[in-house]
Amino acid sequence: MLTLILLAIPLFAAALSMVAGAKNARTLALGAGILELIVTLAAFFVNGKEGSEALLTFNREWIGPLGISYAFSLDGISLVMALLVALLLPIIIYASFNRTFKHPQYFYGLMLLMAASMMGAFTTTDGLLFYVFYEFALIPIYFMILHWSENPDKAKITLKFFIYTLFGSLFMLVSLLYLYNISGSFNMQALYEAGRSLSGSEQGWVFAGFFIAFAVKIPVFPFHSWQPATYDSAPTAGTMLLAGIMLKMAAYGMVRIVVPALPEGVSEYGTWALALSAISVLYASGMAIAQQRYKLLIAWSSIAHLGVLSAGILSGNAQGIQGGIMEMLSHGILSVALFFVYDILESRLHHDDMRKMGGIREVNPLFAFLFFTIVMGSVALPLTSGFVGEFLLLLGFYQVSPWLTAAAGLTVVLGAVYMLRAFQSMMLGAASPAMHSFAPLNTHEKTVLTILVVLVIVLGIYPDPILSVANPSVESLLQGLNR
Amino acid sequence: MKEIVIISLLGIVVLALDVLKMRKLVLPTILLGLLGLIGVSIADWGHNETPFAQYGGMLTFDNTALAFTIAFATIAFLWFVLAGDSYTSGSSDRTDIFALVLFSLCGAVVLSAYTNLVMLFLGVEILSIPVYVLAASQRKNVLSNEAGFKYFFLGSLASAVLLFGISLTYGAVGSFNLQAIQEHLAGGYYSPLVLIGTALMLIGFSFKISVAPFHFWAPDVYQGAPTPVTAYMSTIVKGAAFAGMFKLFGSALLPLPEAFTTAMALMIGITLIASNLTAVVQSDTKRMLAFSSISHAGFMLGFVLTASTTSPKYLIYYTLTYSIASLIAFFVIQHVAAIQNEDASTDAFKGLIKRSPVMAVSMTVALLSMAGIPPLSGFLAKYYVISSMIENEHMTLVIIMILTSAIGAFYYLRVIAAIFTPIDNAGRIMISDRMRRSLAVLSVLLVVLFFAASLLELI
Repeated sequence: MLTLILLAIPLFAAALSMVAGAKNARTLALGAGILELIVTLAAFFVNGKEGSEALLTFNREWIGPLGISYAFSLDGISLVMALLVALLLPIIIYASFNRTFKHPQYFYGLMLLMAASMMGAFTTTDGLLFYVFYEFALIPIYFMILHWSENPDKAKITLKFFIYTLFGSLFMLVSLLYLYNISGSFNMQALYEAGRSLSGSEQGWVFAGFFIAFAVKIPVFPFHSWQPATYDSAPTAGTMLLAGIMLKMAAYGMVRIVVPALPEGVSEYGTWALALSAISVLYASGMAIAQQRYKLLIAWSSIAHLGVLSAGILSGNAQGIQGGIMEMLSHGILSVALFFVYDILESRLHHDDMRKMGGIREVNPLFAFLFFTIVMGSVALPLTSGFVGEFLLLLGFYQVSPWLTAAAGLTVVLGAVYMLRAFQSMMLGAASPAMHSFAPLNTHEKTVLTILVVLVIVLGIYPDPILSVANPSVESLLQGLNR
Repeated sequence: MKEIVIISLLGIVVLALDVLKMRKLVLPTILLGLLGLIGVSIADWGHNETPFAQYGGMLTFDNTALAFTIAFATIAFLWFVLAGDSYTSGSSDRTDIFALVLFSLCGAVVLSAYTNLVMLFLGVEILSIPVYVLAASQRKNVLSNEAGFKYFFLGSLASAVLLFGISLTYGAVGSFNLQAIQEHLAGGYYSPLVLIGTALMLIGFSFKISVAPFHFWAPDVYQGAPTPVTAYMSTIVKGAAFAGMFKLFGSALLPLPEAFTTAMALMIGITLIASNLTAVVQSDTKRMLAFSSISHAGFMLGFVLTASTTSPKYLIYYTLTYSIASLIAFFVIQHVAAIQNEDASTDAFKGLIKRSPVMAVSMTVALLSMAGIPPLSGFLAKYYVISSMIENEHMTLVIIMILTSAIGAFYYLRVIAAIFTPIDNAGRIMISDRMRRSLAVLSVLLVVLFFAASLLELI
């Protein structure tokens, strides 16, 4: 039942926002976001208690003879993912308060619509429904970029983004249908059994279909070329949604479908996927180092971090998957924080060229301090949330391929290079005259940054609540796989 | 049988109303009549009525036939609601055109219910002949005349080929009856006569449904014909031809020799690749939609290819959803082009979101549905095709379908991007309240049909 409420709140609020008009659009959206967070926390609280089953699951037939149903369930993994959406949604909405948008009712309406579809993808237990939500999330973000981007090339960029991801997900559809053709039902358990009954090479092909879809979305080299331009030209709230939450649908898809359904496909034919992930890490880190513009640097660093994520999950062991879940949450928080920093810089300087900055710490030490904490999280310093996730991911990856892990592990080193360099050139040194006018943070900006920084540190010091919720589900997911 | 009577009478009554100078009543009469047709079809549900059984059963109104009839009547109903605005109310032309559409619709009903090859041919002819006239109905427009001519010549050639195929099959089997043919072929032996006959029938149908390599007439005809007629052609005419084809290749001619399934698979592949690649380079949206229509025919042919294991209800679903999207698209194009010197290029759509939000949003929904994006019914329609292709292990075609779907999204999105591109000094495009409401209803229908897909299982 709670799952339905989680889905209904943003849907209903989106509809209300589009009907109600511009005046209170953002307050309405924020209210919906906070309500969503409260319901998610309630679900966390209920989880594991007696009789929680009825509250956390929902199952109704949709197209009966074809084995498609409206099925949702909040197990441990889905709970953490739901938390990711419900935690970031109000923050992203609140973070965009210091900007005014034309047609805010549609802007916030689309944001909520996107949140609804991502929530759906994270909680459904029906394969086709997962596809539907996964695919539908594209539509709101497509229009958000098309209508609210300031980039003159936006039509081209959105087109590339849309076609790329659609193209990838269609491969997932084929793989899903291939499994369905054996199972006769889109129920996840049935899909798992169907997948495991396939021969090794068949699993390899089905795995390839899924991997292409997810690799485009995450993105993994060489399917990444849509990403930097899209991130760059999207309005910041859109970029936050993309990097913070939407990409996680693909990583979640690997956890939820690929690893449990195709164990042999992953272990026998997954090596090249792991290799691609490792290449992705190195290549994207290199590209990040070469960037002069802050927003593009963050875009590339996102690819690097997510390469580790995909490699860790595809190792298919408990550490890798736990690390993946933790990292998804942490990366979500961190990327929202990093892009919010961009928003602050952009609103004051109207550019994000790091060479033209410097000395902001001198003018605004609080901002520099908060930013520094976020940078530390991003380079996975112990006691930040980034460390827990990446450590577990690399641990999982190591069990499968020590050599590739060594390559992927460079992400931490290279990450430190480009993040610290960026910090240095932006914040340290003597303040140039242009920076003297750098306005202090207003209350609103302070609030958002402080919340994010606190989350980064709390999850780094005490990740147990997340891990212990996810753990039983991860174990039951891996049950019956001989690893 | 009542269905055929109602629809024919309706056409005659409409003409009579014109003679009696009661032109105001034309549209309401048609709409009521079509509702009656739907009502009668629902009342006949499950009766398996076979009129004139003593003549060897020319028509059988089983549930599939009735479902097709209901689908066509619904699409026609929507067409009339939208086309009501396209022709000057009270003109004589309008009545003629509406009557012709009704007569043609009669052919569509015959094609859904025939159980005899003679009725098949009659159905095809009743369906097509009014459309030859309709295509040329803008008498002073050269392009429309060209479209009429092209459609007439090539269409009648296709009919002749089809008829030749029917006669050869009759020569071998000794009966026109579908059941007799099926019994004759049950052993799996195709005599040379039947082989040639089947091949000719396949070619004849391929012309009608416009799949490669018999599709060359379609873009010119679709572009040249008056837009409402194009909308009619791409929905009911195409759907009816598929209904007829599915019945023939999905039951009577089974088991199909491998040569035919291979040929069909090849045709699907060529159709999808050729139409989608050509659509990409079109700047005129009407022509682009013509190629898109060919591409959808390729998808629908997938149902015929897998007819032995697929239920016709999925074909009905595809026809219905594609038709609704197609109606929206063509009528929006008509209204957009009408106020800018018949310019239907992609650029003509720039700023449509400001100029007419209803048309902009419904066009976007229609195009996204054609592209197969959930949660719009066009996605489920494509899903059904791909699902049955995988079941029958046509993996190469599945890959082609996927690649071409992505290409398809490219040219649909180009129009959507234009719709949402702001322009300066955009004047509003005025459309009637009825048009506005119908477009909204149709767009909502595309979403509703997605969630209510389980209704399909009633068939």
